[in-house]
Amino acid sequence: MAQAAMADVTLAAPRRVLRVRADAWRTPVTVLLATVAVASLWFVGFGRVLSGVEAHRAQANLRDAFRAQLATGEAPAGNKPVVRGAPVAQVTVAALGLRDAIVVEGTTSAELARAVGHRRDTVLPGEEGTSVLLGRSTLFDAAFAGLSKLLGQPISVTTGEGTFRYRVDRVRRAGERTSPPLKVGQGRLTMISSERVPGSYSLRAVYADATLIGTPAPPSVGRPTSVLTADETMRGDPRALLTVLLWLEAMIVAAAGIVAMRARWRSTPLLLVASPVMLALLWGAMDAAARLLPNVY
Amino acid sequence: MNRNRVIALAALMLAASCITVRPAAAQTDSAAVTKTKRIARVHLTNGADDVVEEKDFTLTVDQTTNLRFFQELHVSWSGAHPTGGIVADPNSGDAREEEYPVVLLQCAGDAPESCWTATAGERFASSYATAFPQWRLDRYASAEQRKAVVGEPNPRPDACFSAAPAERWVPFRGGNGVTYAGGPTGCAGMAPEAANVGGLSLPSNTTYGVTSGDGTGNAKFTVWTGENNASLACSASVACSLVAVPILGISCDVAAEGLPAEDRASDPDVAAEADAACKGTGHFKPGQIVVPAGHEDPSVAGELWWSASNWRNRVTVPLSFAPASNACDVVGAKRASLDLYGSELMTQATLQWLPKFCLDANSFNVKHVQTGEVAARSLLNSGGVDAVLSSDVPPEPFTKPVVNAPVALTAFAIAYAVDDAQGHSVGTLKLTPRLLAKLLTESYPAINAIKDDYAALAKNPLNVTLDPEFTALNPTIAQGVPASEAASTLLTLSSDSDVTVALTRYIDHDADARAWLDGAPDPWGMVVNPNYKGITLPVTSWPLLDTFEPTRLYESGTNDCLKNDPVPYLPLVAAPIARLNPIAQAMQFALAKPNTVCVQVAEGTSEGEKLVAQGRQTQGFRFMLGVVSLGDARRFALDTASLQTSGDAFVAPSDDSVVAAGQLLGPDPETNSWPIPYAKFATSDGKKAYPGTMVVYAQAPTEGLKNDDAGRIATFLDFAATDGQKSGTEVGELAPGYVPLTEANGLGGLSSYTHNAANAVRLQQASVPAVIPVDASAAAGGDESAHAPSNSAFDTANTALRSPPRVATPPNPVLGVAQQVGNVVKKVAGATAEAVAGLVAALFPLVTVAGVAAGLSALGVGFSGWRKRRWQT
Repeated sequence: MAQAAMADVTLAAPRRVLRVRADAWRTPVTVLLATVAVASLWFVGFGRVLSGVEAHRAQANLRDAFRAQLATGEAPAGNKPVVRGAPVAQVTVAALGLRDAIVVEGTTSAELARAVGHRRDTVLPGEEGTSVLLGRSTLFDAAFAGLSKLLGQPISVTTGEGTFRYRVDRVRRAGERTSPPLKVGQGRLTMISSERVPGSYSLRAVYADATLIGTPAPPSVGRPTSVLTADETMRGDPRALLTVLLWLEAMIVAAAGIVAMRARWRSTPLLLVASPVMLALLWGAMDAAARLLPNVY
Repeated sequence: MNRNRVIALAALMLAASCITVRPAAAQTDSAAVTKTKRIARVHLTNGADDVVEEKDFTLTVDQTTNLRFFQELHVSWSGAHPTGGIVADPNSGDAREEEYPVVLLQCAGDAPESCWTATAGERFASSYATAFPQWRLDRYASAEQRKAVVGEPNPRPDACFSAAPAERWVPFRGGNGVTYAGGPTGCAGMAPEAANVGGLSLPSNTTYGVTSGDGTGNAKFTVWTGENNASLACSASVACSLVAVPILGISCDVAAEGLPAEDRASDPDVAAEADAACKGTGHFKPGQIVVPAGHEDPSVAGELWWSASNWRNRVTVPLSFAPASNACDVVGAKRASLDLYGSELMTQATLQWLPKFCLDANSFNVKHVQTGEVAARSLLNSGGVDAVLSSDVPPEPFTKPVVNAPVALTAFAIAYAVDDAQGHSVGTLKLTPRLLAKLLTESYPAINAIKDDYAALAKNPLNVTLDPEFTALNPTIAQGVPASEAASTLLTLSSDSDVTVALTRYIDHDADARAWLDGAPDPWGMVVNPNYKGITLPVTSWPLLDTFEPTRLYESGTNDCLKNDPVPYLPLVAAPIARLNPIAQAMQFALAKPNTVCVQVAEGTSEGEKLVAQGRQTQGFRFMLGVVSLGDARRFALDTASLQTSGDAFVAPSDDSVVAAGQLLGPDPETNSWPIPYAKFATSDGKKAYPGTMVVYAQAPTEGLKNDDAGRIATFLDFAATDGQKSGTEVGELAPGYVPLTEANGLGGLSSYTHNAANAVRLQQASVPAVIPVDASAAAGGDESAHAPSNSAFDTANTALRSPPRVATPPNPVLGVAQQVGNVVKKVAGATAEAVAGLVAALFPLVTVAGVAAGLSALGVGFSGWRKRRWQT
């Protein structure tokens, strides 16, 4: 009976029209799925590879700049105000494979995308008191991946005030006992990053406290006394949402342009011209989206 | 009606529980055994009983179960006849000549033949003067035993020559079933172990206990097992007993009715003489201290302990033994095993704990490799071992996260083997940190040759017994003992050990001791040996620094070894030992260690001569001090000195005083441990706390271990925190000398931390639980971080650098709205940040999976559509 009905339809209607209608859903679904696939894999590729490239590049530029500052005595020290994003120190942690990694001022995800961040309301490394550094554990070259394995390891930090050596004497997580209060004339470096809670997909902060070996420099004056919410540990930067939207808008404009061009250009030159534009826009969107993630991720 | 029934039932149950609980509690509280027996010496004269003496003899043994080798039992008795002709060493073969001793023997059966003695004379008697010596007139001996020669092996070995007119052999047949006939001077063979005891080495355990004038007496008795005497072979499977034979004398029967003619003294003169000899009541006065040297009255002497008259008066106390210390060596060598390195303080604890694991078929083996704690920790640091037992937490942290899980609270003790002027062991001994410092720093000259020639020590007392500080504290002490060298030093460890750290830290915290070490003379003018002046304490091993050689003495040739090869003398006197357990053994048997006796291979030849230790001190003239673990001190029943806490407060190591010290402990977040607060011992809280108290931690890394290894360590820690803290002498219980870490005595914080530590070790996530629970208010921090996941880096450390107090801004309606909006945004941002943080780690895997899935389905959808199109066109 069903076969009979099918046969009737086949016979009764023009073949071509029916075929198109039956298949009409396939094209948009395929395109949608393909888009999702490309976007997802792009995101993963960005996180795993491209963000590292980006951070590497930023490090190289910052290192050059900071070396020049050290050489000319212009590196931040003492009472000079330090602007957000400026390099303040370079840190060497052999156990993490960090060699003269640059530390920049500020700890939002934007600064941490470029380098290790120095929390603005704490003293500079090497000075009396506690200096706090935040670093990423996964994205953007993951400078502080493996922080929990640092117990007992030496750290050396160079700032405009000299080179200082530390030794990690406590690794802790949220809720665990903090290191005892510092005495006058002691320096401490607290490094903060994140790690996956074993057996779960949630993230937690991990802290490594290192004590300064030797005499600290006097604490610098005129430091900021408060920080942005986005500077705090495990915070994303919600301001990046706007940036993401702008990038996406740019992508819509670009896509419209490409569609318009399609009528006049052949497909090969169009692909050649449109791909880098779309890639650049995608990169920018991803970079901004990554700012929404926790700063030490 | 119903209600009444319930009440009655409840009352019944209550009563029942009382009844069932009480005896069990009594049993675990004390394993002491007391037995009373009516003993008598009754001659048979003209067919009638002639009662000489009749007494109720009561014997108490402090412990009879779960015994281990060399364990010391306290044996006490009353109702015995006072002893005369007392010799110095109650464990020597000569002591058998004492009159009316209480003979303590370890026996593998219920006959004299099964009882251990080390010398031939204790189980052989012969008589040349008369054919009817005392033992042949014994009315309780069987007809067989009253023959002229009894127990002689057949054939008689040539080495034994021909038989005396009357001989009695008491062969030895121990738990291993081998018979040794013994005989005169052991000519027919002795158990091999007999050669190893007596003289300068270890004493035998056969004890000729001395009874004082009131009929009471006490003695220590060393228990032997198959581990140190394979012939006696007492073990968990071979039953043995402690037999006390209170010697009252032979019950004589000269008439010997019913015996064959040759076993009766038919000649009236012979009979009269034999009868008189047999009925003797001793040649010495009660309490008379004199070496009998063969002048004793055998009728009442210890040497005839095996005679039927004496043997029937015996009191037998069955002994049961713990699994041998090598029980674990023979169990499943291929099983998984956990090796714990370190702390000798734990030897007695692990001896009882570890068979719990190895005897459990479903468990794994745990082995305690006893080493110095310092060496063990460096092995842990280098990854050579997975877990150590140690008491000190180094200021230099381990290079990996390591938990310090308390498993025991115990102590070091200063053991003493000291006899007073009357030759009795001293009941209590008080020591100050300064006295310990004096003994350790080689500041007593020890011998007159040094006192005369060594200007730096010329004004110091010769040894501690002549030190006014010591004699003021211990007035009953014999001043100027013969064992001057041993009385000039404290036998301690030569290896790196936490015990030495604890001991020297205790000394260092005492102001008087510290001042004396820094050069100030004590009130009586004694000064520190200049080589030790200003020594920095604590140290991990005690250095031997004195370099003085008494040249005049050496050149005189009194000591050929030192004449030919002169070395500084006082370090020879100090003669520290590498391990704690041999110190305990030296203290148990008063084996003096000063290395000053020159032994020549052949008398008068310097070739191959060497210096050896002085060896066993004479009973009654002992003076030795040594550092031991409290566990060893308890097992070997060593006397332990009271240590000064402050002023005239002296505290002996006991469960109570160690618990009191445990309650002074406070956690130190710096090292994640509980350091001993020496400063608190001087306070009123610390007056009853024993200052030698030490915590033993199991230290294990929380990172880098294989799961199996970490699981075994965690299982052990869990055991140590719970079942292992039940006091007792059974396998798996906490041995004497260690106080339980439980809520009941206020030490539950230590064991609950051990539980946390066990979890951290099991998880292997590089986390070390904090020693104090985090104070919630401190962790919350300021308002800014209140909603942050955690920002505790700033709780304590950085308050000085934080923002100054905010100035309240005047209310402004517009700004207020803006602020409120801002706050809402902040809150939302915070919430999203937290939500994101909750899933962030899943981002990459999820997105990857989604992307791949979408890509595959796009391909699938596209491809199937394309194929369909092709098919249909």
